[in-house]
Amino acid sequence: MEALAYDPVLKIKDSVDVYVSTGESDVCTIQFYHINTRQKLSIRIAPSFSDVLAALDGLSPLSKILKSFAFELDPVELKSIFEYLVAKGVLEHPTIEDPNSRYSRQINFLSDWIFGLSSNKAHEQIINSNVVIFGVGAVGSSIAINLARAGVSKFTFVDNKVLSSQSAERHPFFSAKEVGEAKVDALKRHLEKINSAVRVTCVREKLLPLTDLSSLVDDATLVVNTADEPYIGHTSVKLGRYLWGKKIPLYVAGGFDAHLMSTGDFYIPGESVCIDCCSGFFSAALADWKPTYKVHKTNSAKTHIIGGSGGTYSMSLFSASYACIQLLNYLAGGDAYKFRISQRGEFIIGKGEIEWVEILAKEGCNVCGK
Amino acid sequence: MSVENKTYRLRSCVAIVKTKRFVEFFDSNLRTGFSIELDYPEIIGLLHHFDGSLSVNDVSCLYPEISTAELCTLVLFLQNKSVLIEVDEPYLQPDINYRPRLINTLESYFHSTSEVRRSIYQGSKANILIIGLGAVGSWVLHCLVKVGVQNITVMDNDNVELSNLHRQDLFFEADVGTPKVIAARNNIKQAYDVDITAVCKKMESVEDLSLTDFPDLVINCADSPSVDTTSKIVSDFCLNHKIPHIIGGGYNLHLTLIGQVIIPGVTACLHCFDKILSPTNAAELFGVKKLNRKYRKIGSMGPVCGVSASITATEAIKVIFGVPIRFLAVVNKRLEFNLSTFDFGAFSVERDITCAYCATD
Ligand SMILES: [Zn+2]
Ligand SMILES: [Zn+2]
Repeated sequence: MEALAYDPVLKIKDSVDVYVSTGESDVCTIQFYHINTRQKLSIRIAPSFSDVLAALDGLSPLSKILKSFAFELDPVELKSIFEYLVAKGVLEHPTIEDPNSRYSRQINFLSDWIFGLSSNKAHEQIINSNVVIFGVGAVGSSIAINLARAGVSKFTFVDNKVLSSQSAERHPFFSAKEVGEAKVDALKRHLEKINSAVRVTCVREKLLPLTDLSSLVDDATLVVNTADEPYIGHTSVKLGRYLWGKKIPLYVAGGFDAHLMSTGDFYIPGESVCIDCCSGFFSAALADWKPTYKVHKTNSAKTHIIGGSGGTYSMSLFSASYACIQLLNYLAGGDAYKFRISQRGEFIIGKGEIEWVEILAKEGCNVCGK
Repeated sequence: MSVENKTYRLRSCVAIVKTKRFVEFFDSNLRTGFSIELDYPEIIGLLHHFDGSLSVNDVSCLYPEISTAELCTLVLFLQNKSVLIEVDEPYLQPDINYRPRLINTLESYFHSTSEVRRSIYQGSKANILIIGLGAVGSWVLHCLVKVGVQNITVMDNDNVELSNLHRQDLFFEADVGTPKVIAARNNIKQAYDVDITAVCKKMESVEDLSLTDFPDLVINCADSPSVDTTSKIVSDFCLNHKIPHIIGGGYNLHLTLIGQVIIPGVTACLHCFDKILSPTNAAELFGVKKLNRKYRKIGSMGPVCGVSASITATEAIKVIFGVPIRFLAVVNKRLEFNLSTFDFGAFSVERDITCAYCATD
């Protein structure tokens, strides 16, 4: 065979299963199945093509692989079919990379989840992110740990509380010896053990109506709010208004009392509803819902109300993990996160399903203009 | 003791809304609710008197217009619905101080403080076996330690690798090269002063599971050589000894799957599932061969495993603390997380009462 003008090195993506039908003699169906996203692609083609596919090793150029076959294939047709399969994310031009390097499995995952961007570039965007987190309690710290493990290398934590013995219940960075220490400092040390390259700025402050945000958030790639004091709605409105003007996304995480396994709200200027539309939406939706709760003084230490809010680490881990799937998709340059933008979900612990509410913008809102 | 002499507490996590004809109750921990038709305007004030110190009789005296019998009927109904909880034993002070959230979580599932106390005791003493400390097992282990489960055995023969750190809990850079079970044991001891049992071994047969006392729950998070192989071993062992077990998910090739809880003789077992799943697979794959490839390394991401592990652990906690089976969510079905729609799908399987493997004989 003469030298091919089109002579790439190719391999089938690791995350794709390939099935070949065997029923017919002159044609077969080859099905490609993305195991992570569960998407399928089928082609009808000559059976000999499946042998070529199986021989793609990600090392040898195509011409060398084709040499070992006794049959002739039309190079033009071959080129168009290979280019099609590359475009569909089934085949890839392998990058030279140690398969056991720290993030190889994640980069592999991204290649199947982020389109229009190389997986290495997508991963680089995660690494280079700067995430500011208000409130590093059960959910905030869990988000920080997940993002740090994924490679996010720059954080700022804002929280004024200290670790208590009770933090053992849900704070993943808890250590008995650190009771009494500032949460932000203990979490910083925890992240440094995970990844020595991480850089953390600790701010031992509580987010207050008069807090000057500019020095805290102006360099952020995105901001996460889990600060539930005085009330998560109030801290979020303050942050949301400021960040919208700065075109910085805000993620208000779920997983707090009465919403123990909820998904978060993602506010992205130009893409989602704005914070005021969201809080207006819920005030209107709950206008007739004026519940009373009885608070008993059964606990002399008053650290927690017996009979009140429950929750386990496994439950806050759900909200944190869910948040991080959305956040990492956004940071890596994906667009799957858009599917649930401006929607809030509550995972129902007894059913194993999410109940969704679509958050609607106020008509004619001059902030989010939806 | 008769109802009128018993003491009840209105649970603080229950929101009550009174409309003209109805009273709505909403448990904000479980996010479930119900309403009853009742036009008694003082109902909320009345219920607020149940503060854990007054008996039904005491409250009845404050509302002479309601007969004691009528009040007792209402109290029993609301106790059954977990709005009121009978206060028949005080909680232990260490539990109130260190795990109030666990107490409150469990109160949604039981009807009296003595039941909750028994549940906490049962959970703390339960013997749990986790097989595989990978991207699901490590998170599940941490979840169980944090609710105060004391007797956990972990089985795995891998060492911590640098390429594990992006998706596995409990391991740090300093642990690279150490056996996973040892690193996990040391890090848990350090943070929580809890001793777990580390078995540095790969599960390869049913015999490998007979090394300790029978566990009360086995959680399979191992995917080597394949999930099918490890699940089969766990199922054989657990069905034989009637041990509840969980087929975990989130592993290679099944990254977004959340496996089912199996209560032998009560819910669909692995074979009940296979019977339904195999024909579906076979029909789809009839006359089809899988292309064989030599170089393949599957992608994975931490929080995707975290979602799977969080649900598995939340279900495991219900089993460990003796929560009634009707509150389990992932029985007779598998969940699957869809990474494009960010939502769960479910695949339901009824228990086959003729199943030779999980028959109650
Ligand atoms: Zn708006
Ligand atoms: Zn069965």
